[in-house]
Amino acid sequence: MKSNDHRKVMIEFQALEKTFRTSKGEVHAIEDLNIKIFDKEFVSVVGPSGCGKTTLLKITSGLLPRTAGGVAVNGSPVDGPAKQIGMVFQNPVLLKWRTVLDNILLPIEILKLPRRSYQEKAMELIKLVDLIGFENFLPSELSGGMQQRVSLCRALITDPPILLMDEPFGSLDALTRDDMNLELQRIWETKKKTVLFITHSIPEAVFLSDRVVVLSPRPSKVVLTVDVNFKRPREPSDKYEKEFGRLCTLLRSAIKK
Amino acid sequence: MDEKQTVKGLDTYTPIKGTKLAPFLTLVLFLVLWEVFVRAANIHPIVMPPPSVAFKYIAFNIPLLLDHAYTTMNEIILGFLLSVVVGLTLAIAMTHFSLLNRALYPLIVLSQVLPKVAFAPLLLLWLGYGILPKVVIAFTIAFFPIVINSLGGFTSVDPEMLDLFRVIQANRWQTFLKLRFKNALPQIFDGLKIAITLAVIGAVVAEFIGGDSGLGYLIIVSNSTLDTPLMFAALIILSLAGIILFGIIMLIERLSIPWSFRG
Ligand SMILES: Nc1ncnc2c1ncn2[C@@H]1O[C@H](COP(=O)(O)OP(=O)(O)O)[C@@H](O)[C@H]1O
Ligand SMILES: [Mg+2]
Repeated sequence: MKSNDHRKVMIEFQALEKTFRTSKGEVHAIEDLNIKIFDKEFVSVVGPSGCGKTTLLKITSGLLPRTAGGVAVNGSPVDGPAKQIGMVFQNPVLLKWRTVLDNILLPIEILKLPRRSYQEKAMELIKLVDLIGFENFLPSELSGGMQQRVSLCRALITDPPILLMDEPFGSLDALTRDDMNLELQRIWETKKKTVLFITHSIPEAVFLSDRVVVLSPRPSKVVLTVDVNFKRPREPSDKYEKEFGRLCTLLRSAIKK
Repeated sequence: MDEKQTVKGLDTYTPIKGTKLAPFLTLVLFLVLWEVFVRAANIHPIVMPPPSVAFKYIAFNIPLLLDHAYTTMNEIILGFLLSVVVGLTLAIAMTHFSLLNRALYPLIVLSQVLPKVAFAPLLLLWLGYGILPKVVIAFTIAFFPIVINSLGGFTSVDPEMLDLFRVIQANRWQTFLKLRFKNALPQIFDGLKIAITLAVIGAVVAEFIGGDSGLGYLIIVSNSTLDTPLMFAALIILSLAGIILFGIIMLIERLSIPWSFRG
């Protein structure tokens, strides 16, 4: 993507290394990893399970320290959690004693911002993810897909330019997952965020992304990067296009090494 | 939206008819069996009075019994409140400072395995014969389940939740108030329920050893004078007091953690 190189780099990994030191010895999770993610780009990372995808995301969000190399977000090196990053975890991690609305407003409370002025914004997000009428429900009264949509709203409430998502739809059934993909695409089209998306579903990665990065087994480094040039917005029927199938096959064979 | 219907469907749980009456009925059945047994076996009231005699005794001695119950209630409640304050404070401190946790945990366990009854005379010697030693003894027994349960609740938080709180840049105190404390509430209330029953035992045992009033004192005195109906009357009042205190805590629990009482 040489022609795009003039765009602003939002996330950059430079010769990133990560080694866990545990009582049972060292686990070399990430080795010499280099990726550049541009402003408003949607990049998916796929790779065998246990290769270090979650670790990569946690380093990006400042939850884990790196061992060597560089991670820069929006031009500055990462040295802890920052306001410009919103995160969606594998599980919805909603507080079960809070209603949908209060869960979404949690980051606002923590940052001691005026709740009043964000309440309207929260309602807009609730509308965006199609949860109108559920704002006073407790998480236990929602389905898994609905809960994950709430956690997406929570990540968006502070309007961060960067969204990190760690297999957010991994525990959903296939149909719900397809719905969520459409919804996420729609939200990304409206909000135009830089997204780093982790998944183990290759079709999901191709459907959503501008670019798909394949990681090797541990210690993980980039083995393949594929540009996805389908026109947007994408339709579910795009998955039956020849080109879509070709990209999936290409990625699948790269994952097997 | 069809999802809304599923949500409504969740609330179809209906309790079996008469569930609320069940504990009351077992109590009545127990009293009836007791009465029938004592009368049929012709047991002397000094050995074991039938409940009718005990209740008659209560009816005729209400002022005396209430007077003593008042003393004991004060000791129980003060001892319990002290154990809540000290227990929660210790648990909060131990959650945030692991060195403190490691230093105090063995001491707390030690304080519990030592028989308090053996120390009670010493406490009376130090603290006199007023209400204070009784409160302190009730406290030393009752604070244990509060510390252990609160500490367990504060520290057993889903690690992904802690990650979330770090990502949204919550400080320690915010994480404690909005996550750890709320998360621990069901366990804290379990601890409080055990603690209140232990506070009852503590206050009564303290009165056995060095009291001049209270239901425990009545029990000891009536025992030595073979006034068994008085002893049973005191026991019945004591049980009632314990059940009422337990019930109050259950009520507060239901009001403060409604989310764990759904379905
Ligand atoms: N805190 C940790 N301590 C030690 N090893 C870890 C830790 N977190 C992850 N690992 C190891 O690092 C590797 C990558 O883990 P992870 O990033 O969770 O993989 P993925 O998300 O790709 O499935 C795994 O082998 C895992 O066991
Ligand atoms: Mg993972």
